Amino acid sequence: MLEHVVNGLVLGGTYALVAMGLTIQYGIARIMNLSFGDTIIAACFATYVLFSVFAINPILALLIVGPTGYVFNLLIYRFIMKPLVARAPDEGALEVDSILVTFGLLFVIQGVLLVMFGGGYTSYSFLNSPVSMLGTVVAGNRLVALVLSLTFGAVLVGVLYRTRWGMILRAVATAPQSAPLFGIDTNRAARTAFAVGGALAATGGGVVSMFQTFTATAGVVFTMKALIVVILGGKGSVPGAIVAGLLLGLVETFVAAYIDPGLTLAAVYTVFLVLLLVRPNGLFGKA
Amino acid sequence: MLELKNLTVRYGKHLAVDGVSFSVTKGEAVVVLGANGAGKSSILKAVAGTVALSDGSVVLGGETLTGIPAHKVTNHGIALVPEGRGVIGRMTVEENLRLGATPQRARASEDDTMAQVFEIFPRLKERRSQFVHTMSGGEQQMVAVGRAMMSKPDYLLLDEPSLGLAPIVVGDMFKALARVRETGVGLLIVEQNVRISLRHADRGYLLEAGRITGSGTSEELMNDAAVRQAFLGGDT
Repeated sequence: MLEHVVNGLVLGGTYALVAMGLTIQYGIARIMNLSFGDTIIAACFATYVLFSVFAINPILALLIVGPTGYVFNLLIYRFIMKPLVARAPDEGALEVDSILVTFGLLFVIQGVLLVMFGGGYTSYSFLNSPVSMLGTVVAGNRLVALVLSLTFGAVLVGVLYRTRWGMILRAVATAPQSAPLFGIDTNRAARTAFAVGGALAATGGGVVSMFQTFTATAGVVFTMKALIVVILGGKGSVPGAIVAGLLLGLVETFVAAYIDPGLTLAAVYTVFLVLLLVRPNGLFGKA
Repeated sequence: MLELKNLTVRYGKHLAVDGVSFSVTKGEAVVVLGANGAGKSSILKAVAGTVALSDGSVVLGGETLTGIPAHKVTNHGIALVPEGRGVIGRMTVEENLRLGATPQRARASEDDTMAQVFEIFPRLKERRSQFVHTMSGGEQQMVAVGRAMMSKPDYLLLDEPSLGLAPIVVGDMFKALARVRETGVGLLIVEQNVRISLRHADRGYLLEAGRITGSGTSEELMNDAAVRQAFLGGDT
């Protein structure tokens, strides 16, 4: 029982971590980034290369992978998204345009990864020793992943709710029309949010790679999971993404353990459906 | 001095504001009176930079502001309280106020300005941790004006501050605005509520179909037959 709780939290923690990035990109920059999961996978491979070729500890590698994700997404925003933002007559049009463009970007990133690493499953062994905790045994790498996810989540929530910079991002997420009257540069906020979302995706990828096998084509799975978490938690809400991510991880683990592993996806979508019927804007969404 | 020179705003083919020119000085209260759709809001939006001018210019202290994006206009000392208030409902009173001090010109004096806002609106101090969307219309309007004050404006633009408020609340709001004005801020108010806005303004302009059709001191306008006819129910 406790074992499943811990495993569920580990899985949910990584869902939360990657979904935080997507909810920031979608909620603040108003860009639905379908290549989000491929950024995660690229970060998995980057961490793998740093570890297996350069012998850099994966936890330290996050310090390289995270900022790289930031810069990479800043460039994507600057050269690909900016023209779309400039020409979009409204939010809906930007969403459609960004879906089409990032759908293309998805295949570009995936293609590059396939050329470099092939289509096989990849993994590496890091802290793979069992750790006893709360009367159960967990793999060390999973425990590290959980601690890292929760730490990043706590830091991000702290920044969003305790600093002016965070206030500005939240203002743009909930009231984009009013924000300029407060002296807020919404374009700059959107660019920063997109880059921060990319940094979180990359960090999430680095964390996931510590305990999971991954393939060049698995990006879309991460995008879908993250999207479910974002919608469950409420578009643009980081606390929502954390709660929904953990919830989803627990549901998946418990269904796999007590009912049937084949029903995990069905269970996920059932939770998704029921919650959307009850709260159409998500757990923390605005009415 | 804030000068509007031949200000013209078009929405597609529709001419909303047609060559409006007038000016406001610091510490002065000017009201623009007009019916729904006369172009009152468009004038304020054009000055604040949230809609583009199709002709004319906005000049502040000799510097032309035309074409500057809205978020930068605030840093020049112009704050707009739009219709519908433009507050952030899902944030607290204090967060709204602190966010209002985002322009560079307002940062250094943020805490002092906040004390000043709380002095004029003691209710906001009591409710500083309350979420704005849970407050009454009058309280939200206080947040909106307080937020605008936080940017340390020289000119405060108010789009129908009386809209949707109970008469007694409207009276309090205008008294509060009079105190804001005493701090040296110039007020440009657009209103349909003629009586109370003229009582608190120095001068006024009449706006019809995007054009200025009359002007005068508040007293003159109050006694003007056309104003009485159009806005005060035609009684003598």
